[in-house]
Amino acid sequence: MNKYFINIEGVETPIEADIGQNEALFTQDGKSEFVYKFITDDLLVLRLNHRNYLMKAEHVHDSDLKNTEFILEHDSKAYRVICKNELELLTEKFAASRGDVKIKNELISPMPGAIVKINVKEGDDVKKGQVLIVLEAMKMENELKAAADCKVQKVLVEEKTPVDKNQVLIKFEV
Amino acid sequence: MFKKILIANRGEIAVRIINTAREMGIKTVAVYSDFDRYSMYAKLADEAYHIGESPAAKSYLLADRILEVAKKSGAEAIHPGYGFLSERGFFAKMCDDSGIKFIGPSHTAIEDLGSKTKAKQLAVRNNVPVVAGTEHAIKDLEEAKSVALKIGFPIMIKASAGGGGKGMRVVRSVEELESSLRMAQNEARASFGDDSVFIEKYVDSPRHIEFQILVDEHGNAVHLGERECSMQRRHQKIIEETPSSIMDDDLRHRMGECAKTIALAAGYSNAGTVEFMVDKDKNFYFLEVNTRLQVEHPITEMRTGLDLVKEQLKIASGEKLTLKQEDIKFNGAAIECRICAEDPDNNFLPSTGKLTYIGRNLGNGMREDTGIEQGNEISIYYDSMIAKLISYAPDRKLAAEKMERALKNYTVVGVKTNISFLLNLLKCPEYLEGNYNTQFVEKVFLPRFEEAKPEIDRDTQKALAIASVLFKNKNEKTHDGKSPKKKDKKGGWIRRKELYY
Repeated sequence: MNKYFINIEGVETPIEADIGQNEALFTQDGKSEFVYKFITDDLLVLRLNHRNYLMKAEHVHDSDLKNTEFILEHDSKAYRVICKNELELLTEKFAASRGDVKIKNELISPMPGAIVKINVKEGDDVKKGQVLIVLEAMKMENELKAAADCKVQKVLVEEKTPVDKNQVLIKFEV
Repeated sequence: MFKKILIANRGEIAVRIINTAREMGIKTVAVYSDFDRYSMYAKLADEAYHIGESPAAKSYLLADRILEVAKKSGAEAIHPGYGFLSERGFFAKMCDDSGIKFIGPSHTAIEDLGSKTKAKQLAVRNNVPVVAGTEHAIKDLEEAKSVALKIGFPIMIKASAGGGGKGMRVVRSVEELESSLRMAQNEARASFGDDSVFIEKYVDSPRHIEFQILVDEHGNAVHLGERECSMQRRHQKIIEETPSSIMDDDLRHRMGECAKTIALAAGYSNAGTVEFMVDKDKNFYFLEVNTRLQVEHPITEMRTGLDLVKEQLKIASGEKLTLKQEDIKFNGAAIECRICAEDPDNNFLPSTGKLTYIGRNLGNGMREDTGIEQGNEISIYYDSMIAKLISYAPDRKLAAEKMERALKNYTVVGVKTNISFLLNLLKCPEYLEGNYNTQFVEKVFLPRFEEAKPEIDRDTQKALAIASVLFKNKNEKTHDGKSPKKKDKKGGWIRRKELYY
């Protein structure tokens, strides 16, 4: 059994538990037994106290998430879950004390497609939710929006040009 | 009847057509792009021919190449499905010229009804109500001004060759008119290569209700009732149902008769759909005719007991309609949901990838139309639809319950889907009461949907916690390079050894 610290989005108190192969010891409410089977790498049947849970994980192989952040879907609802072991928690505390915080400062194309429209130029201040680029893919026009308030440092693409998945489209000033 | 037909389409609609053809003892010929070499429909057809590269412009839109295959394979007729070449008059004409039957209306009917101004003129001449406005393209700003002032703001500027919301602009005052007119013309030119636009009165928050018609080549027509298609986002339909909750026998009769009138006046034949806007006071206005089979045709099939593809094939082979209007009986209620690979939490961005797992348990009262199998890929080349689920029950409430259950039992791994969005939509009070219009999803539902946070009971919290640890550990095992990817031992439940005692 190893100790884990788990934060579920929307749940105030973090969960602390020792979790082993078929047994979990929750610091708050004691022992639970469970069985499980992976149907695919991303799909898990978990039977906890005789209740069935079909759990689907999204982006489990996304290296950005460093295997600590999980988007789990159960009963057609998605939950963001942060799960860290003791070592990861320590490393993070150490990094935070050095002020080593990384902010995403790029807009990246989520899929291959073609740029239809660019709504911003260098030096623009943009607001969270503002449409930055319209990308056409799969017969649809898709709006790419700003994730936070920020300032445009550089626009790296032009209208009517094709882009690849994960290509950097805009750089922001941090 | 034909002995062999070619299907100039792909995906679920190709599968749908192959199935009916097979029931009727008709052989089928599929055409496929690089991407679709082993897609479900290409395997299911009796014969399959490669026609080009994955982008539709290099395969499914190549009329010449498709006709060549039709001749080579000995197909007597071509079913165009929906999308691609289905509403292109020139393709119907090319089929005619090659002596191959196009399963659909004549090319002249497609062209006349495909132009919104021509279709509207036809409606006016035949006393079918239309929204007030111009019946011809606007010449200049002066004319636009005088028309707008006559019918009163708000008005809508629309591209004559338009579709999918492009080239459409709502104008609320005379000051906005000049710039809106210019923008609509620019959009129309960019999208359709034709900058002619017309003006009509803007109907606020209308419903979108369409009528299915069948017309034979001997001048006989029936309508098969309505489909309520007001659940839309950016002009894309999300949930369709029949009957519409605002429909009564009298309104159905009047709208149905108008639908038939338009079709007969245009010299239309085969299956078609006549679209109307319906305002709050149940006034209806003719919008346009879709000269093909619609995505949402199955709900009409469920409620009338007819097979529309079979009717299409019979009409195309020259048979007379054996059905009279009084033979058409409407029973029960049907709902269709489109399961799409898209991310509702991220502005409905299409989600591409391999479908590593599809789990479903449809059960009583459900139909699924799909062209996708486990292991297939959702690509950037075509639309993002995974499947259409259709529920059918004695009444609307029961049909919605069946749909909810089937959606909950539908599991897709590998891409994001709109399933949770559909479930939320089905459960919202406006849907349950049947009280919604074309503005509902974008103006009312989505803002609310984005705010909603799920409540999580303690047991589910624990399950999420354990699941996250299990995924974490599995990831470490499979991806740290030390232990190769392997299947769970014995393939059964993983249990503690002690539990076997």
